[in-house]
Amino acid sequence: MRYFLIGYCLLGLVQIQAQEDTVQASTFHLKFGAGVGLQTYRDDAMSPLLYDGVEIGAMLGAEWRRPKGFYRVDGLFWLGETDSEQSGAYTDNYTFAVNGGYLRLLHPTRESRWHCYVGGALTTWGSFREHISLVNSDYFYDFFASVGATGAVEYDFRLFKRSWQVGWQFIVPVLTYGLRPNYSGLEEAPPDEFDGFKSELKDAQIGSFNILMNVKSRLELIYPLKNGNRFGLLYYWDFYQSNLEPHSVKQSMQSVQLNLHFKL
Amino acid sequence: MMKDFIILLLIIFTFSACEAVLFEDDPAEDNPIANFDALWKELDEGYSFFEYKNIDWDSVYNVYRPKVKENTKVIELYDIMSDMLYTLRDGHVNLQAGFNRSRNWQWFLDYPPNFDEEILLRNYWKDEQWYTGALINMDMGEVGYIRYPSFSSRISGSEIDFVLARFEKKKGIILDLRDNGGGFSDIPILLASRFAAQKTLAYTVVVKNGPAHNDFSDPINVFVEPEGRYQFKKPVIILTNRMCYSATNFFVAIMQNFPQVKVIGDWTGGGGGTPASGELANGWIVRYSSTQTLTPDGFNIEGGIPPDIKVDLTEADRTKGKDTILERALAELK
Repeated sequence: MRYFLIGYCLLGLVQIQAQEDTVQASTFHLKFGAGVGLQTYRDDAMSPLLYDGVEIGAMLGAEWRRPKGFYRVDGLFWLGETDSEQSGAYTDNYTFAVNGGYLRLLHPTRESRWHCYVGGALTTWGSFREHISLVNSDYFYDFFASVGATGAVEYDFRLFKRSWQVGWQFIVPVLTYGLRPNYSGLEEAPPDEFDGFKSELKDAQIGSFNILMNVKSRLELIYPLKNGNRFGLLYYWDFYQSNLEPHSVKQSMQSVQLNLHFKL
Repeated sequence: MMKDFIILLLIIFTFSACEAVLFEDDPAEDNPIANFDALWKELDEGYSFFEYKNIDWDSVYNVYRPKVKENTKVIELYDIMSDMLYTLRDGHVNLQAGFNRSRNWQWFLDYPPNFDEEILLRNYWKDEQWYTGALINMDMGEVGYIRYPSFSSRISGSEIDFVLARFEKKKGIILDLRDNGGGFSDIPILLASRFAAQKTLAYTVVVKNGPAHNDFSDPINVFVEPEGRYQFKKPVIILTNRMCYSATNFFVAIMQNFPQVKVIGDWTGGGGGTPASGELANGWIVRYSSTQTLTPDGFNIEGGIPPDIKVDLTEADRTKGKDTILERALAELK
């Protein structure tokens, strides 16, 4: 499988000079990517201080385009370390965001260079931090699963005698199922008695903007290749403030990813 | 067209990059009063034994807060905060700064040590002891002797099983936990599972779940079940002193539920609350008890557990190289 993927990537690279100008009615792309992220947060359950740090990221996604709209799923994963400039303490971080949705073309005139879409989205966000200095209460997490609204704008243009596309999509979660650490921050109660996440799930809450105010934004520059594959340079930004009891948290993730879109 | 595109890009990047204004600055690191107040509040809302220990935390604030001024120096502030925490009389309460860690050790310093490892080493073990992982064990004729110096040293189920199998034919076992100051909280259950004849209620925990001093979760029952190759059901004597703290205290509480177990020595030192931790704006870390633990008959183990037979290591015996507490345990098993 590894050799297949490497070979497939090379095949894409040797054809980088060629472009495909014809618009296809229905396409399906599988997307792989890697990049770096900058995570910043203040988690009142953990510390009054701001933590930030650079993380490595990976992406796995899919996009199915049809004449009247498209389905898009992006799974983004980050791994890294954040620290507090003030205290010097650090945390290990594991974060993911999986966003999927359907966007319908508003003005279906394919001749236009501008395309506007609106639709609905399902999103999940998980952020896990380990602050090893805090011993029994060293794990902190945010998990949100949401239903939301989404919109997108795409613009086709030519630059340096090449065809390009830039697309911006935003998602605003409206209804959210959220999990945060318990009041004392002890991982298990009592500690080390693993109960299959029962104690965590017991604290789950469902709400709207009262528990999660979140904007997800993705801006992607697309360079189509002749074979139907594409290069994508993705800038992803996820910002939220959660007032989910008992401790609030504010976090942002900015990420730049270089993606390959393989046409299947 | 190109102009539109550039404007679009600028709008999006500006929107995305505006997060700097969305995060407030860190609270000031060098504000002694704010740091003191944050520490007091962290304990006020998180510490679990105010009512049990009958501590008026507001009065404590009124005593120590006036000592902190805008220009109080770092070491001086640390000392004031440490003195305030000292009033909680809790070995699980510490203030960790880069240069020191505050503590209250009166739970063992105010009492006789009741343990002298030199006596064991020279007059009882005589270099015949085995080291099975962290379990020091020795054949003492009709009795098997096991010393576990620290619950911070992990032991595996197979190591416990090996040592118990070694003493399977003995009349009984002496489990010497003196000076064991605690450690991992899962090991007491693991070790006790080798002495449980059936699923038994080990202890009950309530966890702090709100800012009021009496905000606690519903009781959570913790059980111990028989595990391992077999369970040792012959007499077991546990030796304790005041330095038996935290996880050791939990272990003694669990073992007292079993009919074959007797505790000889001094009270354990206590430590019945699992500690949580928090970070202050200046980077100092405070640790404090955030649960309470009760035995099945409702006894709160924070202040320690009394032995079944109270025995002190006498000075006369110590001079003769005798361990009074161990001798009493050997006599009980004859």
